[in-house]
Amino acid sequence: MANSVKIALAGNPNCGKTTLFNAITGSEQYVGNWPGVTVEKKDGVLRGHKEVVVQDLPGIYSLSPYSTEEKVSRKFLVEDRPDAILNIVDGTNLERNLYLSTQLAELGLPMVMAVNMMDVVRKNGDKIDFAKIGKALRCEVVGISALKQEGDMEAAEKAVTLAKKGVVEKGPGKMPDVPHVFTGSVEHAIAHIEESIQGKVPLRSIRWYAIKIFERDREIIRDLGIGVGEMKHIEEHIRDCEKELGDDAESIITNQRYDFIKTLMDKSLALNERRKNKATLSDRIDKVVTHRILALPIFILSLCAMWWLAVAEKGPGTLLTDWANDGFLSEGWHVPFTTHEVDGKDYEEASKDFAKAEATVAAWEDGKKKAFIEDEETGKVDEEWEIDEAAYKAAKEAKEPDPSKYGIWVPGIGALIGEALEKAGVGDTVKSLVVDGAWGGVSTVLGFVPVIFIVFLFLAFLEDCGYMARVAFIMDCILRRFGLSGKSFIPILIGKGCGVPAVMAARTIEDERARRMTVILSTFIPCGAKTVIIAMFASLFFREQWYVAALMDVVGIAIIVLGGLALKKTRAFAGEASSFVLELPAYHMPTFSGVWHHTWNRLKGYILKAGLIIFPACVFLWFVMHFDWSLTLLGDEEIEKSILHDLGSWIAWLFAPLGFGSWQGAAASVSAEIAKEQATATLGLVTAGMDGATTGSHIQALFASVSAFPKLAALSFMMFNLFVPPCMVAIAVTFREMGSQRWGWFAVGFQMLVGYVLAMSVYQLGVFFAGGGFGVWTAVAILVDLWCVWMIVRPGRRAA
Amino acid sequence: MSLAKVKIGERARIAHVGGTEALRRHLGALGFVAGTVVRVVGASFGNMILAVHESRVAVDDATAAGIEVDAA
Amino acid sequence: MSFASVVVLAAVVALAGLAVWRNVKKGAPCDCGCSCGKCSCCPTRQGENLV
Repeated sequence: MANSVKIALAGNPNCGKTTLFNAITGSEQYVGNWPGVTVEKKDGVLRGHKEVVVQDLPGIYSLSPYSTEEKVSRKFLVEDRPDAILNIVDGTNLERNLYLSTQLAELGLPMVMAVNMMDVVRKNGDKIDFAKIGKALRCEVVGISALKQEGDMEAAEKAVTLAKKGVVEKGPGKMPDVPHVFTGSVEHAIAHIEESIQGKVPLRSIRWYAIKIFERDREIIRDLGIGVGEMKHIEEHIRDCEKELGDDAESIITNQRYDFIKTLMDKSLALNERRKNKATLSDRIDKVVTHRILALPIFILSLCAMWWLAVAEKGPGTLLTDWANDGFLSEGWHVPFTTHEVDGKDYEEASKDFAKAEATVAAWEDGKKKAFIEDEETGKVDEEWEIDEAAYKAAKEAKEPDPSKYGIWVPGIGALIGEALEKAGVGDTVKSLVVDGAWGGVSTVLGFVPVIFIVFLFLAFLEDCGYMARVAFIMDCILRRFGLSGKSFIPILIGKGCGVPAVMAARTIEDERARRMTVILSTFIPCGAKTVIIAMFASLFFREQWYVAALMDVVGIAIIVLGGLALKKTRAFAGEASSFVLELPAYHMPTFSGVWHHTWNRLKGYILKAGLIIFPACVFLWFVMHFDWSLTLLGDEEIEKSILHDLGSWIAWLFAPLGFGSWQGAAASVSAEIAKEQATATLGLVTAGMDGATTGSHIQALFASVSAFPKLAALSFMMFNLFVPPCMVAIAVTFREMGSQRWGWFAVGFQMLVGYVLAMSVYQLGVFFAGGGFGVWTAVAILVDLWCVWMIVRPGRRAA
Repeated sequence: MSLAKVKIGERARIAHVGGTEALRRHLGALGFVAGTVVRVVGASFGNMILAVHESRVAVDDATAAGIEVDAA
Repeated sequence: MSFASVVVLAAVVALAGLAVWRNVKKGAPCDCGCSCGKCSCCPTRQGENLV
């Protein structure tokens, strides 16, 4: 676009830049609360100005060329030459924010400084003199509140106006109007350097370049092609300053910037006297939350609160999930408060009567004298009674109760689809493809949306209020004792949502070994898709033990710590824990729209995935389940002849030590590599022939048939799928971030080992303790576990 | 003395920031320069949370130990 | 097979195929919700050199 205007959005992390970006471009970029979230630049079109492109740069503290975020931002500002800079500054943190502003101003580009969070500044009773700051930094300064959308568009439009006016020059060919921040001999040296690089750089940025050279910025020196001789001459000036001021060049620059800022603040910032140097509310909260004894319990407690809400039997998550699975998506449901009795019985009782009648008919026709019905969930016999011919005749007359007579009945989507297909005259086979295959699989996954929703909502709240940064700090306190850094933990927190951005967030870790280790370990914390698996198993096997769900998170973290320890003992990963420096943003009440957007984005993605990945996968699975190798269509009872059965059986033996060595378990586990939640859909599909009325009971029946300890087998299956390598997409990203095939395979191999050993140990030892006897595999499990313990506690090797 | 020895709630003036070049640069950008007064907000196992100007920065024990301070 | 069956079968297969094709072309939808192909969680961005 020839006439497009480029505005760069630059500022510290946590200054509200992305909130502003969303407000002025109408986009919905994820607003993160710690470095590493925005590792790339994002652009959008300014509202109402089609020709203006706004570029959101990663949050940076400085324009040095060292961290990934800095490199990205600097490259854009210096090479891509935006037409104007919109510098967002946190008004409650003015001094530190201006450190970057002075550098931006030196670039000589038209600049508008937007002092954000003015609502908080006013509430605090502080006063800021915009005019004085603007004069000192040679730019326009305005106050805004991105959160409340006050002044944000105006600030952006000011930047556009400046951009269109052009470069801030005192006159043609004259030096640009940029702030002079330094003193005496330093200014002198800079002036000299400016002279020597005249003509090599655009005139308006000459000062910025000169200062960089003074700081001995290797990249700039190289890019400008400054010769050895020239550099020697410049070096003399620099060394003179260093000798005079008793410090190295970079430190001199940093110190003088802050001196300049301090003087400026004395003139233009008036802090509310009553607030000065007192502990803020955030500080007081932190004293408790990061307390050496309370910190970890508080964190675990918050995880437990989240999981209780999501999967506890009496909690909202289970309530909604049951409604979704048993009602909304399948058969149907009664609108609450509209149900009433018919003939003295409510719908449930009437249905039970009908079920008993059906059981009576079936038993009599089978030649039995007793009939029984089973409890759907436990599979145990609920009731048993004797039958005779009279009972049989009466039972045969029984009619299925019509739910619409008992209240306002909304048929479920599954029922509606089935009816529609029947009415249209679709045959049974195709009907099965649609209802059991496609819809069956997709609805299994969608049924757990309430659980995902609650988990994501909770996490979004914790992230937005600022608590997650504290968690990284707390984990560092603990991990440091073991040679690991909390910096590695930030991607792990991101991994709770999805493993892909988690692995990518490891980029911000400079130390190569720590970065590699983080990539390998981040995906052990259950992601959103894995949460579906947890949700299903909690609902089917651990209803009364909701804490099993929370345990999965704890196990994930434990694996990360122990796995990290084990890796650290090897030559390839040994070394000191990298330093941990993290800004903790003040706690703030998350906005409803912020949390909602976060949560809704994730939810949307999950639902989209159901349509785009789960759906075709289920269609494919239905086909390989219903055809044999000669592509003959199989009947209902012939599933053992199917392609899928054979494929699954070939590798089922691998899962035998884990307790679920059947073709169904194998098929489900392999299919999980497409998307972790596919495991649940596949389980639903392959258990179609098993006992029970609902998909859930089919799956329970499956585990009962493969192991004498179904709950243990279920636990093992769940843990296997949670802790082996993540889905294909995340694996692909792992390979990419590792940068080499060798490391990629190492990561995958390590993860596979961990998942397998863990599931095997849980099953084998669990069976042993449950009275299942001591077998070969019990011994194997114990030996392997001992080996693992050795790997963790042995003395470490020196770094390679 | 080392910043690590400063107690919670107390203030100190930075005399010198130690550590690797990269660390000093990063700390510098965050406001840790000679002459700045910091206040200890919290401490846990040697790690510290420090108030620098109006912001709060968490640092690990080794980093804190490497910062030389005088009483404020 | 009835005519309706054929239609439904064709529709299901076509939709499934379309979904697969779209995944290959545009990349799998990432867990952040969008399929914009531009956000940081997008799995199929081809090794963009950020630096």
